[in-house]
Amino acid sequence: MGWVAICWSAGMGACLFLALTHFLNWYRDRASWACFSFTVLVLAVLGLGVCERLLMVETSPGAFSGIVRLGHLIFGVAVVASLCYVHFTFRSGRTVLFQLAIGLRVAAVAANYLTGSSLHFLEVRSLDRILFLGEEVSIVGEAVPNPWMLLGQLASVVQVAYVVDASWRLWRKGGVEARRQALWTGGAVVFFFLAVMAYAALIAWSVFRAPLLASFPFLGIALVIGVDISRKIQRSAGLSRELEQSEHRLSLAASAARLALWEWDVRRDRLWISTEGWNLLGVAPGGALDLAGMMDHVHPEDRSSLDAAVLGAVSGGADYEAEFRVVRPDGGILWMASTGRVERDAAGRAVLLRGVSMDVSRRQVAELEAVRQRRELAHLSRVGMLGELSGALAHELNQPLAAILSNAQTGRRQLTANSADTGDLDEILDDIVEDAKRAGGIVHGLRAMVRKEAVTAEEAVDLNGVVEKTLKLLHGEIAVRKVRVEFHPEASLPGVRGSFVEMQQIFINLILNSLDALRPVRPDAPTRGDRIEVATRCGAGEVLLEVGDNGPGIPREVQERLFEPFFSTKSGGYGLGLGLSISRSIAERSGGSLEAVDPPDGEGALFQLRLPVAAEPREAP
Amino acid sequence: MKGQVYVIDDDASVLRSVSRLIRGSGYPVGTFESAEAFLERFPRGFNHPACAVVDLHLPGLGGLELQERLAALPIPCPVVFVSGNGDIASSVRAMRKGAVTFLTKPFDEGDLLRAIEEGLAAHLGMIRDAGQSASARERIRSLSDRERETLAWIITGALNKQIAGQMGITERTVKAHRAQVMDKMGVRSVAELVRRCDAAGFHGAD
Repeated sequence: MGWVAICWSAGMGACLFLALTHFLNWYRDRASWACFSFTVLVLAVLGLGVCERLLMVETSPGAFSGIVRLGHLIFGVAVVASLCYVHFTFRSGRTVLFQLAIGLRVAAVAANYLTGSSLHFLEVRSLDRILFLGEEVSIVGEAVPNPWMLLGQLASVVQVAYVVDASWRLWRKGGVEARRQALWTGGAVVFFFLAVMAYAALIAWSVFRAPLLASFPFLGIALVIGVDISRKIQRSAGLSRELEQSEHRLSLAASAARLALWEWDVRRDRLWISTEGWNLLGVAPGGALDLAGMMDHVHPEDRSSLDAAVLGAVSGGADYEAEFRVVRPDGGILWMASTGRVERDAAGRAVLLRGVSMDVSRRQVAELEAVRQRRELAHLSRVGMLGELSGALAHELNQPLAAILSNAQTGRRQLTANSADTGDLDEILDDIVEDAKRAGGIVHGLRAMVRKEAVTAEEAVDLNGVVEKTLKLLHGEIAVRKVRVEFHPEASLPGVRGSFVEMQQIFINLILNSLDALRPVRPDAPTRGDRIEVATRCGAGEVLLEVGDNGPGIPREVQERLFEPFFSTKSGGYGLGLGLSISRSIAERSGGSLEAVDPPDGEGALFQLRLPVAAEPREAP
Repeated sequence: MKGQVYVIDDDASVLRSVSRLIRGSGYPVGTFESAEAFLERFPRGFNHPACAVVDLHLPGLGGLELQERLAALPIPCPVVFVSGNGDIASSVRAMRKGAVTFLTKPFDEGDLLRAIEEGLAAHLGMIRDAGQSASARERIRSLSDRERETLAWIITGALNKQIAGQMGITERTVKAHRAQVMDKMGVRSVAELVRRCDAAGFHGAD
């Protein structure tokens, strides 16, 4: 066996092996253009080698031309594959130049089939036999060169220019790895392209006589690219090791912070959860989980809001944010705070929702405790307020009781007198019933204020009703202070969010403050023009309650301090200074506000309570 | 005779029930929702027996202020206070200024009616006294100057002889004057005469 057979067999074998392994690589990762173009390149080199070997043993000029033509097609494929590799791995070449190079090469292949017997020759008249590497092989003898060969040369010039340009630009970008690639891979490709060009031109113009050898330069290109790819694989192995390590670190941090990482594949409805996530759910890790499966772990009351949050993120474009409770198999409940972001494909469709969930049970418990304590404080202040008002309230309760007693005694007298007139008795009994109801109503209202649990439920509260009932309750107190209270209600007032008792607490506070500002508690003080004006108004999505008086007013420097706890302007230890601060916290808890504002006529004080309108319309009475 | 009772309370149902109670006991009752309305209706007080049942806490003019106004009348009208929330200071003040009594709501009918009766009786007495003094003054005015002088001496307890000496007239003339005085004053004894002069506020020559 001669050297030719050995070299070609070895080269072809190497090509076959490389093609096979990189084809498998590409098959595993279809998006890898580098692997694909490399596979095509080595297959083309293999094809070229086969063609060359066939040419060496061919004896008929006609068949020889046919093989040259086929070889030219394969050559074109090899060039395009090399260019593609450079284009997709360097990512620095000019697209226009790339397209021009490909276009010219395709044109050259077309000319290969449309003109002469191949791109090289118009006609091969005879073959010569020469000795090559100790073996007798066929080469072109007498032949007419094809002028379209220049098109092939032009294509080669452009492709060299493209690779030079791409390498140069990659070099300019900097970075050790990029420069190495630009210098070695780019340089080698340019070198072998030039070698092929020069060799082919020399053969075509019969400067020297040797067989056509394109496969070996391309084998060189293939080897350089192969090295490039293997370096990449090596690097990606290093990267994956690093990735593994960083993942490990992340999961350590996540589990230390009790953070659960998760990803939801929107299209396939697959949910991946980190180990910590499974721990939080109280379930052994593993198993396929979809959104519906996840919902089974969520507290039934929170499912709809969580659903809405996910839907809002996926279809609405908002960031995902939710708070929900997880029910563990052992019955334990955890509060989770969850945030995430949607990833979208080019068409803007949600592909992936990825995020992190945190166990906030402790915070939640603390918040609930704080809410409980605020309510407790409000309750205590309410009870204290009732103590302050006990005299007025006793008066209010004693009125109907006095009426009932008088009526009952009158009735009894009429009965013992055996009077035939019973019409009066009917009236008396009606009055007794009315007054008993009135007394009952007062006691009911007081009980509501003293009871704790009455306020936990939020309802739609009619502020006009609050004002009317409270003014009735405070009637005695107001009468003692000799103050005129005017109420200007807005006719059709929407209900506000809150609880009746707490709204009443705010209003009593405001009225008592105004009363205290107007005059001290002295029943015999002379009557002046003391006046409190109460008004309700309807604003945009809110209801406004105003309480104003024509007292001395509030000095500017005190206006904001009024709402500080334990701040009181009332002298002689009268008043704890908690009323307004608690009132404001109640208003804010209901989503509203309580402010002291400058009265429009500059006289006295004016307080404004704003509360958001309740969601559902108030029921008609 | 029974007198008139006035109830002043700003609470409609209390007003109705208390007035019904008092009416049931046989007194005619007038009701008022405020002190102002009451005073407007009776600016000069009453010449018939009357008693006011007043709520301590009235809007506008308060119960204690009303009591002051009523006390300033020629014949003061007695006041019975009722209150849903009587504090000690107010009740002491009310009593010192001459209130008949101070009742706390809810009150017993007996207490109220007794207080009203007491108030009416007091008022009646005052009216009678006022009437008596008016008639006594009228009688004194009908005396001649000499007779009035004689009367002044008589009520000092002087004897006829002393009076004659003081006035420079004869004892017989004094006797004649005395008879005229007793006759015109409509009394039979000196004691009665003294009492009547007292009612008229006549205390001698001046």
